[in-house]
Amino acid sequence: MSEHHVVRWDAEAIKCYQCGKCSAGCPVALYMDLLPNQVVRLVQLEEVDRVLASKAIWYCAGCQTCYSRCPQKVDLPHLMDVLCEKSVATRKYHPEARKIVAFHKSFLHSVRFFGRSFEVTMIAELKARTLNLFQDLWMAVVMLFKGKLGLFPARVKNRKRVRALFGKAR
Amino acid sequence: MSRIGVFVCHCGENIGRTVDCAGVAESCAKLPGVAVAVDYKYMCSSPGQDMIKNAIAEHHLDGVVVAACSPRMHEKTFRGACAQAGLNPYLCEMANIREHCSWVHDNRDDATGKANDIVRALVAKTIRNRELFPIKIPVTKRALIVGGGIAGIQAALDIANAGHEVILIDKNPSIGGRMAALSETFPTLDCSQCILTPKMVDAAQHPKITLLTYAELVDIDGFVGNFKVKIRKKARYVDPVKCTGCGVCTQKCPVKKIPSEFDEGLGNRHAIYTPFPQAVPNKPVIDAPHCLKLTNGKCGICEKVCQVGAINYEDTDRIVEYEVGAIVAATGLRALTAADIYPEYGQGRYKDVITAMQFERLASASGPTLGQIKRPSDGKVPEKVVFIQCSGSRDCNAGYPYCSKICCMYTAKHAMLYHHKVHDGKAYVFYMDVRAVGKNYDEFVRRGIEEDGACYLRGRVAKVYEDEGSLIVKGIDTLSGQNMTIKADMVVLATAMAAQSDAVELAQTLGISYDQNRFYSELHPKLNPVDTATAGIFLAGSCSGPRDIPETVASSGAVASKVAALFSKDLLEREPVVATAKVFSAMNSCSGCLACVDACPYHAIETETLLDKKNNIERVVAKVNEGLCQGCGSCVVICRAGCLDLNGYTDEQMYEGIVAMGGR
Amino acid sequence: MENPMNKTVMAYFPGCSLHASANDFAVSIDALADVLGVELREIEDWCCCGASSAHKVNQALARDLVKLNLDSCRNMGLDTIFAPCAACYNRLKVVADETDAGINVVNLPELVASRLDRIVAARQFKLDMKFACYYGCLLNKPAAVFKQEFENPMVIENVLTALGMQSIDWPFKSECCGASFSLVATDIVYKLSGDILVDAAKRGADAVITCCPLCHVNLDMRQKEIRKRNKGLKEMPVFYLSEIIALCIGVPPGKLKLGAHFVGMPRDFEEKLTSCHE
Repeated sequence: MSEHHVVRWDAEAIKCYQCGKCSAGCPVALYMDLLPNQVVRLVQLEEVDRVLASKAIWYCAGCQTCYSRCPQKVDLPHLMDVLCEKSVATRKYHPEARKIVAFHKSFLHSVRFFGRSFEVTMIAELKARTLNLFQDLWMAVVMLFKGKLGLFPARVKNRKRVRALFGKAR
Repeated sequence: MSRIGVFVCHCGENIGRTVDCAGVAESCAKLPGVAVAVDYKYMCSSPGQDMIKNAIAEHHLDGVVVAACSPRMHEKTFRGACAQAGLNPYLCEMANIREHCSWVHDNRDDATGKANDIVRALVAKTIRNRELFPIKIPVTKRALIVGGGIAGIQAALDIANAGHEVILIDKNPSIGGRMAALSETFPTLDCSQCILTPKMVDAAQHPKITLLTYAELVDIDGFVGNFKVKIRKKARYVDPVKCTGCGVCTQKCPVKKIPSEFDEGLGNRHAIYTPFPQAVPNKPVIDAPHCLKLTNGKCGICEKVCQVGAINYEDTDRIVEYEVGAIVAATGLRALTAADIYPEYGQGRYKDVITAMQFERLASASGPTLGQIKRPSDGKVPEKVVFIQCSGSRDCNAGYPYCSKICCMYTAKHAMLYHHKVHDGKAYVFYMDVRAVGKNYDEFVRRGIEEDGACYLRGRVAKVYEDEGSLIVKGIDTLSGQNMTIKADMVVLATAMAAQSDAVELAQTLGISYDQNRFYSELHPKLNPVDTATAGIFLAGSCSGPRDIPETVASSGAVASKVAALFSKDLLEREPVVATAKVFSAMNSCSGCLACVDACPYHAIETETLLDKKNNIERVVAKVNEGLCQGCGSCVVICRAGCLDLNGYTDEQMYEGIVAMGGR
Repeated sequence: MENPMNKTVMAYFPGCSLHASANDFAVSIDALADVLGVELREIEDWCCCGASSAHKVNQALARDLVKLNLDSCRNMGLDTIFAPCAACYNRLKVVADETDAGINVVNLPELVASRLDRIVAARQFKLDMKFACYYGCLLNKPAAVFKQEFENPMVIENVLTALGMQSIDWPFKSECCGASFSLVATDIVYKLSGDILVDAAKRGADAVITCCPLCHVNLDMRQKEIRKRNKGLKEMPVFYLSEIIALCIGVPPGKLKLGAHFVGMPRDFEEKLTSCHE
């Protein structure tokens, strides 16, 4: 497995000279408690705990716009991902990030079980985790009528292969 | 038997800390051919040099080896000392036991052993050194200056005032460069053309300056003091001698809508034109690809209205040649457009997103809007202007990692000019840093903020787009930690200053180096900022990197003093490290294969025809032109007969040195 | 790899969405394969690419999921994968690039643009609507991997022009729609996708074209709520690029699953589909 893209976050963060172009163009900056450039700044100052407990890292949409525009080629989206992974390990998420973590976990559980994501069980699990039972219910009904809701999961034949990846990675 | 003196220097701690200098002197005293060997703390100092001179006299030395730093540092120093003591300087060699030994090793024993080896090698070489005498070549006391902006103009004036002839060329129809297009200059807010045009006129009228505009350097040949240059004078189609500069042709020309380069595309010019009203020379040229007569044979109005018959449609490019002793590159920089670097700023897509140079033209009294700040889209006066610094500079991603140096200052200037012209207007400046390091510069920027109301926001801009006639600027102020979206009427980009598009081509023509940003390389960035590594070629102004006007003018003065120093002698002395051909040696006579002629990068090898007693041609052999030879040694390597050798580094000297080094 | 019938064979990675909520996308791709001259062989036993969830919480897993699919492609003896879903395309390409897999990953606009002459030769209709071509985030970012114009791309617009159809010039074509916040932070989608639709409408678009099932969900399924939050915003159908192409080459609208879109076709849709035979 090639390690070359795993970001050594200190090596990546040090490149940043805090111009703010990332934050200026970030579509979800207004929903974040720390602006993207502030996340990088805190990593530079080694205040990682503050970052791991923030909303910002989970509200990153992964749109890659910051990385594409950064004059110093700081791979911010990847840095955010690495921080999120660390945040999962600490289990100390920002309260407003819990539902987002729940979404990702539900998605991955359905992939682990079926080999592909299966919307019905994924959404069921999500609603169970977030106790948000009624949102989008009408949408699910419409989808059913329009034939967009696959009621039967497409399964991967060799699911053990896929499941093994989860075991290995954990 | 040789009598070599070995002088081992401690160089303070530099060598002494790692190499046992006294030990080296002791070992070398025992070498065959060495008459005396001593060590001392600082050989290059006055007492150190005296030590050498006294030893030469006392021990009747016929050769000197100074074991110390790199010859690039002090070979000249020690050779000078030997010459003063009456010893031919080329009998003095340096053994580099600093850069090649003490600076790169830790272990004292190993380093000392290596130092011994090095000195032994140089002793063996020096024993075989022969006296050499500098080659004297004449100097042509005329300078060629390529580029007629403020750098070239100032250098021309300074060199001409020192009493030497100057040829000043510029590829544009007029001299003036970037500075002629500026409105006002920081920090004094002098009108740029008002301070420049007197110098332009002086340069044109100076008896010692030959001004050639619309001319380019094609090729150079030769070496310092003796260059031959070829210049192409482009066809103007207007006889500059007959032309009075009345300007009627430029008014009557029917081709009117060519975007003016001088006005950065904000205004138009005709096919026959002078770039700006204060052009020097104030004689028009015809832009052939746009001229109806020259492309289709139609029109011809300019010829008809010209009262003195100055129009000449039959004109052609002409090559002229000059002999010069020094060449100055004063070709300057260009300001980039942001369209390719930052498409997110919409330059080229939205009319009201302009570059800083375009803003200069708007603010300029002789510009397309006569000095009024107006939006290019609808001609209205903008109420809110956003200035974006670093639009391309300091960006590794875009390929311009350096700072363009002048943008912080000119942006402050622009904000102030805007305020002076549009009293109720609001200027915003997005900056990363404010670099205001010159004299009165920081005070200037503070004035812009405190007196002229410019709002400085610390952060870059991510995107500019158009919405209902306004420009939406999405930026950030990192100091207060908030995104800032501004609805602006005009956006001005401080684009990167980059090397000219033909910078590499010119560098290759001149034979000078350039760096990864295509700025020309100075000989030493700190101590030799106007020389190049090529003797006789100098750099003035921003062709070696962005700089402001005071620095440019200073560099031109520096160049002039270097040129004047070069021209102060009637004969230049050249190092005698040149190739020689042993044509008649019994073992190695020249076979006339002439492979060396092809190998020589300096065209320094000619042929000589040898005649016998009856004046019949016996054979053709190689002959080295000592004036052109640079001592590179390529011919020595390629010579199959072993006939060519390099004075100062002969095959025998090098061989014996290597052999001696190996035998510890 | 070419087969004797002069069709290029490509591995096909439909992705989880195309088999479920984006089956309208899948149907339109199938309808195009012949005209494009490609034989699409679904990757044997492909698994989910991980989408954004995998790389968000587990880098190693994210890479492994994609590598499994790249290996399967290699085992089929193929070196090119066509992934119509922009998110799957992005994951496949980024990992293929990182691991020097030697596999070329192709997205829908690229595939269409590279075979434009065939489409133009086969076209029979054009749609008299003005389109807002929406690229989203993942077709051409990060720039370090994709190395192409991402601020103002024109690939889809150029395809439309070649087919005689109109598009608008607009600044929101690469702005994020809100992506996977669709289920858990829907307000973000309402804002971001809302801004996109408002700008498209403001500049005269009648419809939007997209290449990503998630963007489609956000712009189509959520459009009703967006219009509630933006009074006066006109209804705009959201098409997949492949649906537009399919309509142009004469696939009857009934054969495509246009009815699966939440925002239905305008009433005069059939009239807008005009023949292009001169």
